[in-house]
Amino acid sequence: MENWFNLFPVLLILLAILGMLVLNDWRRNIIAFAVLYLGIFILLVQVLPLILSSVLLITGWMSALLLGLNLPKEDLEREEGLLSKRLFRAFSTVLIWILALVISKSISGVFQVSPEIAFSVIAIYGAGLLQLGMKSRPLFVLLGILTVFAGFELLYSSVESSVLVNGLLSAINLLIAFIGSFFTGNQQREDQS
Amino acid sequence: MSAPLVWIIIPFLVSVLLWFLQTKTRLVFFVSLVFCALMGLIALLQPIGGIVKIGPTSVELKTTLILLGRSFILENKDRFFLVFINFSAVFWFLGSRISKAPTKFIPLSMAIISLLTAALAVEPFLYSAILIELGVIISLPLLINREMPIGKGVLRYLIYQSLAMPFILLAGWILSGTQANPSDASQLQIAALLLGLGFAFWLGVFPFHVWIPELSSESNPYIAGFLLSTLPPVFLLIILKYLNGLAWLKEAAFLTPTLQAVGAVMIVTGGVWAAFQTNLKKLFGFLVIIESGFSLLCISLQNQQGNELFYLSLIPHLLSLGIFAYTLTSLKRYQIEPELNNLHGLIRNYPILFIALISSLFSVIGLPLFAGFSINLALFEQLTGYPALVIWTLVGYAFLMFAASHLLIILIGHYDGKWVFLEQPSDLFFLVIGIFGLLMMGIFPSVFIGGVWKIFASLLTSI
Repeated sequence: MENWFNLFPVLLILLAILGMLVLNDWRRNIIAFAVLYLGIFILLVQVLPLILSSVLLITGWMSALLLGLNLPKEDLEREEGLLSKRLFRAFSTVLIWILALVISKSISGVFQVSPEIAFSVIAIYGAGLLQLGMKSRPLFVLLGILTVFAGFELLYSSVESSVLVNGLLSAINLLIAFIGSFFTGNQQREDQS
Repeated sequence: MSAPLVWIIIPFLVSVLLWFLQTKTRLVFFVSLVFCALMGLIALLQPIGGIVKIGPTSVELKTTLILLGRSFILENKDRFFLVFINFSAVFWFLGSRISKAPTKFIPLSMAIISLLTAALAVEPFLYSAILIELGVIISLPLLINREMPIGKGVLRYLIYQSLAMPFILLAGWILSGTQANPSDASQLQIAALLLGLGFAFWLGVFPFHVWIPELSSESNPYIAGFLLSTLPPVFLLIILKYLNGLAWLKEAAFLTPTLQAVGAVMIVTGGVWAAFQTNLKKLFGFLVIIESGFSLLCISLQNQQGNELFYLSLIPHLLSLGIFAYTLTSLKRYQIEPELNNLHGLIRNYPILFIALISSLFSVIGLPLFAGFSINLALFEQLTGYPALVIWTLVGYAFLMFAASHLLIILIGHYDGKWVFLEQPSDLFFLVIGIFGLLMMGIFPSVFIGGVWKIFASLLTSI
């Protein structure tokens, strides 16, 4: 790693990913998602103008806010064998990190981005896919899609600085969060009934 | 005035206006019908780039609209799509009132259609992925409502369609880089792989197909019918546009075998699952997969005949899927669960309804006298050089034939009740016209399909 300072955002991203996959509490998931975007912002601001990176950060936080607005009063998931599930998810996340470490060099070559960005992209994208595969409740699925998009945006914004494209991607993020907020409302009504 | 303004911006604004008028259902219904028919007729009659004369004033209909630094270009060759999408909107809106589709169906469908048109018009065309994603997100309120729990199908629809966008955009970025160095084979291979993955997610290619039957089984059949009969043709048209725009991809040796293999896999998997399906709504989903596989086989020919067959097949496909979706909606209204167990002998009570259902299935299979026959026959003639492919495709259709026969046996099976017709006259009107259309296209293909093709061919070739 040429820039040792980047260890800080990368660690921030890894912690956020781990939190999102291991924690079942919806509030903590949302906070971890917001922290993820902070890490992405710190990485992006080095390759993208401050305004564009800020747009991404604000979009991410607004998405988190939109999803958080409809927070259920109680934890949604009360699962049996929670510890073993958490361990399994943590182990899977670590496997993704190892995979990311192995292929980040070649990915950074293809897309001409720094290895730490390539590593973070694969780690975030993989975590999003893991979230989509392992959790079935709509709220977590929506968060999984947003996580996948966060990984993609980190890569795409690093290589493509078009304002229109970044704006449209932000709009898509917000729309998905808005739909997620709608899902949450539905879920609450279902739970109440 | 520009063509994108007429066929993208104005329809989108009208959809927004209609959204606020949702409560006035009759007004929304008639306005949308007249508007879409008008848009279709303008596309049919007015060359893009020509002069539009309205009384004493004349306005040039330009091809390009620049919006936020991107070009939206609609040319004469796009008029086929404009005619098809607008008349298919008329087709779906026409049945929306009687099938009791939700009031938001028409405004949101119009918005989706304008976004899909924008996706085909945008340059560089790789940005179409973002517009399609927006269309998919706009379609979500159609599929979820406050009364019903959110199903897996809707979530998977969103997941798979959303996963497609990153792949297409990244492929676009790589391709823009390779324009400077077109000989970089490894970059082109990565771009082709990313494009292939993106299209596989979009079209629901095996093993990414699970969302299609799940979506059709969970959602209002009429809305699922609209989405599943509108989105795949647009994706396929975008594939065609990519193939025509990327010379290296069109000339790549792997393209034809890949498209053929994917098409055949879609037909075989769709057919096999359809054969063991007990739910008619899920069966509808597998029909969509089979139709997409058929279209891919047409495109894989990479010649004039293949393209003609693809464009020609859109009309019988739309009619077959439309009739199937309409019958599913009618079953819901008659409070009949679309499970095979519940349909024993019911043809005695709903003869026209089930004849229409069976006709649409036979048309997809391509049985003689039905609309799909001439198209399927023409495709198999074109595929004579690939016997293994023909055999696999026939295997898929044989399984679908098994599903149709099974359904027919159940429908005419033992029934204790009497022959009492319980169908509503309004249903009969739509269904009889649909069956008549399928039969006419099958018995007189040169008159009906050929006649329509002559009009469309003139649109595709006009400059």
